[in-house]
Amino acid sequence: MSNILECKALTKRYGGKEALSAIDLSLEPGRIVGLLGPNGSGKTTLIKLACGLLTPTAGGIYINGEAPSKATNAIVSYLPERIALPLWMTTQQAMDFYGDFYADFRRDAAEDMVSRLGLELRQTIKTMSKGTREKLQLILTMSRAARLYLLDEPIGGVDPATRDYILKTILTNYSEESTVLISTHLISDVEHVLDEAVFLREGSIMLHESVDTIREEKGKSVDELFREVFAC
Amino acid sequence: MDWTFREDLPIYTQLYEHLTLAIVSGVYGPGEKLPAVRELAVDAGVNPNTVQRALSELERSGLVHSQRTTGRFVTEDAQRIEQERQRLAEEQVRQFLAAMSKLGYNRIQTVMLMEKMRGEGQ
Amino acid sequence: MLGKLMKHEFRATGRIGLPLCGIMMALSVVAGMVIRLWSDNLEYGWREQAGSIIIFLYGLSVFAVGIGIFIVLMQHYKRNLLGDEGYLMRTLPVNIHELLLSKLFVALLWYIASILLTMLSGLVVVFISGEVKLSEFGGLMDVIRDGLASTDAYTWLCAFLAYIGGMSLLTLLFYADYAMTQSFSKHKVLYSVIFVVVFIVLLRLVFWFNSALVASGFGAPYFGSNESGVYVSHGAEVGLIELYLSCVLVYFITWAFLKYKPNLE
Repeated sequence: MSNILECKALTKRYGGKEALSAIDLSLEPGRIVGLLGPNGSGKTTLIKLACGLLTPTAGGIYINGEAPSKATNAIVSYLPERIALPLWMTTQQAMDFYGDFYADFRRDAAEDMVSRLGLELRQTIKTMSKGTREKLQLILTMSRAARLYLLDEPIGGVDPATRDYILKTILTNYSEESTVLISTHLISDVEHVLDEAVFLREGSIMLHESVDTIREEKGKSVDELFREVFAC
Repeated sequence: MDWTFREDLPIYTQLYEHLTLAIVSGVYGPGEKLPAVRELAVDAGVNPNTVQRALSELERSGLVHSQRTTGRFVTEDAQRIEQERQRLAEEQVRQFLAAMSKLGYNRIQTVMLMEKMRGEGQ
Repeated sequence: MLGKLMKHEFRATGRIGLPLCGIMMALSVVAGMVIRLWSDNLEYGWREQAGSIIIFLYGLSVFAVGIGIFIVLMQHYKRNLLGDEGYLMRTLPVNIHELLLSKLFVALLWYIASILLTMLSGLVVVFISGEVKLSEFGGLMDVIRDGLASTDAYTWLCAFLAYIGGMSLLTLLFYADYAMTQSFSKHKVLYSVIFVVVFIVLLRLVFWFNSALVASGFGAPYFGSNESGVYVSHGAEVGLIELYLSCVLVYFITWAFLKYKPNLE
């Protein structure tokens, strides 16, 4: 299997509304891919389908050749949009939890980042600020040596310093054989770290192209191209 | 190093220019080891594959050579570095002359203006 | 992974469950001492007033352990699988069976532990209060032994299975109910009540033959007693099978909703 993530005519409907319309997408290992689109374009739906939080209405989604399951969850590291860590847990307990359930959890890497962030091991998540909770959740997600990282809006609504911290944490920790899928509507903030861009609009893929190719052939940034594609 | 990128060019060509400038200006001296790909990527806030591509271009141009296990080094060939410095300098002058020509200055007028300004500066 | 999940369940529910049990045990000691002081003194003064309050609090703590632990378990289930924590729990490398069973097993262990602890706290009150002297303890044990002897092992087994089955069904009904009503954005409580009623009616309908069996005299009451002790009737087996089939049915309804209609808020 060469593709770490593959969607074949993947469709998801909620009631009568189609969130994803028969999309085909293949992602190779070793890439950082931007899943770009305005709010409500189906980014979160695609990510939830990939980690088994939703089931497809039609078509299929495959992680390393398999439909999402307990086996694929072991190689996928998912960062949800919201804080999913139980608030009563301490930093220490949250790391224990990840260590218990994920064989690929790099405890030393997590401890290193936690201490550099100045977090106390005995501090409960409840007492942390929203920004700190998000950083801790990102640290835990990126401390796994996963094959596929699914990051849902990791930089939504953060200040530039935090954005840099988040992007650096991602770049420092992902392994070169793994693929990182970053969903966002803030293209200019992430475009320098991307290999590929996937434009999603109303549940369909408008474009899937290498970022260098976009700049070479169109002579404009991904952000500019995005504004053109979605301007109407 | 200050990493700023233009929007209309691929990141790897801009990285290539950045690194070339760093080499000819002596930030990385002849024979000196360059930082690892990941380190450069994190420092510049760009994709490691992009850094890889820029470094490959530098290797092709002969400014950098890689040793299988230990990493990448700036060439010890001082002549090659000087040659690159010349190329960049000529490129700067060409751009400057082009800009002056737009202002209606021919080469002789430009040189005279520069002489005059040098006199004023002293 | 089931073991790790259960460990985590204990950690998550023990935060409130253990202090509740601790308070009950502490109050049982204090209540026992209050009663001991009390019995020497017939007049009703401040000491007796304070004593009544403590005994009342002890009674309240027994109630809190019984009901409180159930509420803690249900709240934890809801938040852990259907709320924000669901994003973490349901993307773990475990399947939904493991998630559900770890919760059910831990709940059952809590029920049993809370009953044993409540009984222990009762004994603590009785002994500390001095109502029963330690020298009389042997006599008490004899009474218990006689009671045990007059009821055969099979009856005890059936009673135990009935308890486990009944508590499992109650717990699973709540699990299924929460999983189903999660799909609705409005009137959750109303739907919740409707679903519980519908569940129970359906379960009765599915096992309608049970009443027919009882009516035909085959079943009779599940447990009865005669001069030789407590016995268990043939109806009990039918009842137990019915109970456990209901558990399985409700379990799979919950499982299907979590698997195919996962609605995280």
